[in-house]
Amino acid sequence: MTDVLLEIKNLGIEFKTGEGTVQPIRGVDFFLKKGETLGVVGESGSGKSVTSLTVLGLLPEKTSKIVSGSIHFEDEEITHYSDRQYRKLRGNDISMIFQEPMTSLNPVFTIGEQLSEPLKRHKKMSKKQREKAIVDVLKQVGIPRAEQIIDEYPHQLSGGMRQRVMISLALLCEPKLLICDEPTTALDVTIQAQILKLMKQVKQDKDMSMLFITHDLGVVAEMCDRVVVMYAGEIVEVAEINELFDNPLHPYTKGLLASLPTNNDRKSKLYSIKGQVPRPNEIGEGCAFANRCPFAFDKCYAKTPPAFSEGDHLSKCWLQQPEGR
Amino acid sequence: MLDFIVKRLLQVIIVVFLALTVVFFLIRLSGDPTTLFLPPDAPREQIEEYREQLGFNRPLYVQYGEFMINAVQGDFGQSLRSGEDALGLVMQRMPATFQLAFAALIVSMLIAIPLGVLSAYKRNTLFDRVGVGLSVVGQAIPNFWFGLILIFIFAAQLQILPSSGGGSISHMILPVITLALYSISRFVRFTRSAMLDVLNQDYIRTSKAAGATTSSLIMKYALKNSLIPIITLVALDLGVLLGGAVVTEVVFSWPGVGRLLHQSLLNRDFPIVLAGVFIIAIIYAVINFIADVLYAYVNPQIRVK
Ligand SMILES: Nc1ncnc2c1ncn2[C@@H]1O[C@H](COP(=O)(O)OP(=O)(O)OP(=O)(O)O)[C@@H](O)[C@H]1O
Ligand SMILES: [Mg+2]
Repeated sequence: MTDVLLEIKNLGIEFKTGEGTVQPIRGVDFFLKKGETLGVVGESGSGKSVTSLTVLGLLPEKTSKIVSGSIHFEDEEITHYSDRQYRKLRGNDISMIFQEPMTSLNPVFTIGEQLSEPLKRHKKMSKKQREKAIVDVLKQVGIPRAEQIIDEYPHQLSGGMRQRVMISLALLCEPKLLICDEPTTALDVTIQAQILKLMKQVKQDKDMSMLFITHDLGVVAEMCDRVVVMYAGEIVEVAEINELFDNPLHPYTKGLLASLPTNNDRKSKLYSIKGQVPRPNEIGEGCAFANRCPFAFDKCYAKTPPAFSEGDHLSKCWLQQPEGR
Repeated sequence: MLDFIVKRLLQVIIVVFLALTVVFFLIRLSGDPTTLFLPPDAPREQIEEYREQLGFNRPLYVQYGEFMINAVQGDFGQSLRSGEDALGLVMQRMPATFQLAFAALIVSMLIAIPLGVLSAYKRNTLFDRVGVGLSVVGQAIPNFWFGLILIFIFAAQLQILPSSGGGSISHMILPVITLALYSISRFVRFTRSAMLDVLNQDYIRTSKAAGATTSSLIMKYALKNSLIPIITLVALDLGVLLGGAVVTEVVFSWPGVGRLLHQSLLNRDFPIVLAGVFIIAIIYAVINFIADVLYAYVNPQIRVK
């Protein structure tokens, strides 16, 4: 078990909302090995962000609750951590890069002031040392004029530069796990490619593990070793990257793959999965994907499928039941 | 930035001009004051003569033109009562008014900003609800009524504080509390909502994910952002405090501009009223101007441009 860095078991999250409670995460199970990049894919609203925020204890305290399951980081259960214990992890052992570079930096503090936060919390360093560490990291992530940039404010930087700043913020204390929540979604395509390349490189250099959240299977193919496919708060399929692309088992994964644009048949119409992800309060008995699934049969509506596995390849679909329908 | 300053200064002039115009006509339309200064049984000729002497017999637009020309030169005429220079009389009262307004503003900020921050941090707890409830009440209580209650309790019953006049710290306590009540209530609610707004921002989550403690999240990362709107409100409220001190000054016989204006209005001593309005309008507009500049200063997104 020692090569597993993060293990989530049967995680269930509940939110209190104006219209009562919803449970957008139900029975999520996955693990992340040391040195691995694990992709988490799924449409908007499938619960990717909520899952990753839970790892760092960043869900809103008053309105959210972990109703079941556990999270082990380096073999230690962390869901019962106090704020103080979480603070030791945050920005130190586990860092996170968020979706929105434009709003994720504080507009009234300089880049340098913001980047010194994790160093102040986790490292004993003099002001000089901190400044040097910050400039070093900024240079590593390809920021020109690093010495000047530390005295500038976020609004003076472009989106791509801000995301580089966010990456350097995450890297400052050389974390064991880097969680990236759609780090490139808000950037335009050329910048996106640069940032992905950069992240791949720093991951290798620093020997980190990465949890890479995205809704873009193209990005997953580029970055990840294994993939977890989430749908409506559940995991529907887990597989090695090649296995997933060559032999997808769950109809939802098949749909996602079919909706990828390919170069060879440019003229054919883009496929899209009909319908939308059900909202957490719309989920009842049976498979959550059944109402959009082209292969759904009676059982799918009646009973939630368990996880069927073929070696390391896991899928939650009644079609995979060995004895057939 | 220079462009911005010139533009805003122009606005100051327009605001002052409009305020004077409106007050001039309102006050003239309410009748001329000659009868107030003469005995009720004064003969017609004497009234006419007096009106002519003061220039009230001429067409209104002529009087208005003359008033404006003089006003531009800082001449608002003499008090109809005492014959002293109107603007001079108003200026004499300014220090007392400033003293009261600044004291009230500082007291309000010292009390309200920490309360608002705490309320946001403890949102939806009993503390927060009681705080918000009280601040709604505080905003709704009329100034004069609250002032009278304070006089009743502390001056009449307990006899520990003076009820009127000026000159010492103890004279200031009750009027300052009275004047501050409204601002405190406003600032508490405003600070609370500004803080809540900021605490929900992505960048706060970023700092939290970087390991920031709750206290540095609130006192450092969130408060500095909230201060941008708060400073604007505080500066605007100084204008309200200076102008709105009229009632409080009257209730406590505080020797400031507000009380002078009140008396002069009752006496129909027009030159003083207009000089007072002129000063208050200028202060108000200038404070707005300063608020804008301050806002630009604390907000780097504006400052740099
Ligand atoms: N604070 C909250 N209170 C109530 N419901 C929430 C809260 N945060 C998330 N949810 C709900 O949880 C579900 C999952 O949201 P989540 O943000 O994890 O989706 P996601 O997969 O990250 O989507 P996206 O690709 O848009 O980022 C959504 O239905 C959302 O409405
Ligand atoms: Mg998300």
